[in-house]
Amino acid sequence: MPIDPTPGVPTPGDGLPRPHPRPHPRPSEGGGADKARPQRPRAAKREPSELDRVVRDKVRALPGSLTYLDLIRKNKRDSVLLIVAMFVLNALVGGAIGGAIIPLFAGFDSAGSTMVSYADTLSQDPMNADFDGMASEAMQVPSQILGVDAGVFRDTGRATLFALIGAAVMTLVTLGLALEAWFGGGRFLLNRVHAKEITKELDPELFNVVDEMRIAAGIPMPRVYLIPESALNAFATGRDPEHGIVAITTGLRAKLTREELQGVMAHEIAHIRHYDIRFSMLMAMMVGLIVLACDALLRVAWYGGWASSGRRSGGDKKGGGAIVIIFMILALILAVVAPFLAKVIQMTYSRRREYLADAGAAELTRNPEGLASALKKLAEDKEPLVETANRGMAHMFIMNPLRKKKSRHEQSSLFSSHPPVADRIAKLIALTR
Amino acid sequence: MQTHDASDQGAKAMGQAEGELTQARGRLMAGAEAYPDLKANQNFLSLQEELTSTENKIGFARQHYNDVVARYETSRQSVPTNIIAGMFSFKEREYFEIEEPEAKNAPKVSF
Repeated sequence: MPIDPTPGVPTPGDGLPRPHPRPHPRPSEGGGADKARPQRPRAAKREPSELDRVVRDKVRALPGSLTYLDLIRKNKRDSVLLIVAMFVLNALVGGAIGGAIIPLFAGFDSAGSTMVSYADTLSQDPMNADFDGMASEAMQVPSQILGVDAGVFRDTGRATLFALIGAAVMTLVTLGLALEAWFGGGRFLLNRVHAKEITKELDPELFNVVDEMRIAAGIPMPRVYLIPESALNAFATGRDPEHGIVAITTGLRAKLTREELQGVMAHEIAHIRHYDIRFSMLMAMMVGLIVLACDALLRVAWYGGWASSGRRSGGDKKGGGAIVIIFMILALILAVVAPFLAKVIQMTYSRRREYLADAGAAELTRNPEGLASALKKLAEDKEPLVETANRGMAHMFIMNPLRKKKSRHEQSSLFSSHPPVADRIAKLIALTR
Repeated sequence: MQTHDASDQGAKAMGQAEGELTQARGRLMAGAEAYPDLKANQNFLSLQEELTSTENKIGFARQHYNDVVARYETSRQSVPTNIIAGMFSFKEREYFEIEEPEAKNAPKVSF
């Protein structure tokens, strides 16, 4: 075996009182792994691929004393920072919208008395007649809530209303989806990819591997699903470890050795164990809120003619106008930049969690090579990834299912949900030095 | 280890039992070497998978236990949580170590 028998043992001085013992050799070195040994990439001395070279250079760049505990600690700290950043951004947007809309209200104090329900406005206005049939059902609830605003915003007009109603409807839809995801335990996603739950009789090895990994993680046994697709991918879902689900495509299942399968399943179990599904849902909801709020703000500004309202309210208050206008300009800038920023934070967070799950997999298997070798197989695969997946599900998979066929050795991008696979492999390989 | 409670003794006994299991599996696999037909037999393959997995599960369970002990010991000994640990005299916990040298270097069986 070319591998150092204790690759995962932390070095002294990294916070542990003493190196944590690994009295038993790596469990995967049992008989099951022996079967796989002849196929191991190390054993078969072939020409190093482009990916191998990229990985080798990246491994050299990493510190030699790297342990999975370092990786876990760093990724957890970064994740916390990103969540805090997201909350700050949310508060800023909320503050800006509040600050920008309240002076607008103040300028229309007198108009406030003419309160007309939204339903009345809609039926009286011929421009909206065609909207009636199309959207009346969807707008029933929001109209009652927002009816008050309709009168106040008489001349700011339909645009504002539609923006707000749109926001309300979208919020409800987002909330509905979030609740479904919360209680449905990813049933929607599983149905979408036609996943089938399997029992131990159907695939004892897969089942055993999952069982081993969940024992190592100390969580209940997740349900195991098989996705009938030749593409290579796997994902985890479930709001907490009690409702954990792991799924793998038949293509990936057939292609991996036991050791690699262990790495992949450990990565998915790590996602469950770290509550990644819950946190990515929280992130997605915050991004959605920011995008909607900023969109509403921009529409109010664009269609509502803020310039005139600013002047009018300024005129009433004598000199307050300049401040209001400056504030509005700042709010507008924020409204343009915030959605972009929110998306960047969300994706940075998603990439952090992928690295964290990789480090977590190394912690569970004590064998980073298994996952590294599996990731290499995934990266060098020429088939398109899961076709039935869409953008909303991308973060759940072990590899970005939306990856284009051409860009196999992709660069790091601000907007990708997964880090470049060469970087992930390099960090795993660095643990075995 | 003598100063600790019964659970530590239990751990020791479990470690020994596990060493025996590992040895037994090694003997079985070595025996199977002599019968090429057996290695192709589906029932034998599933038996082998079950034995491997059982052994792995025990290994991973111990790993999990040791991980938890490591985390417990870290917070028991590091500032500021060590103050609480000292006040309520939290006990030191032993790692689950294997005494049998045979179990430490599990037999390398190739087939």
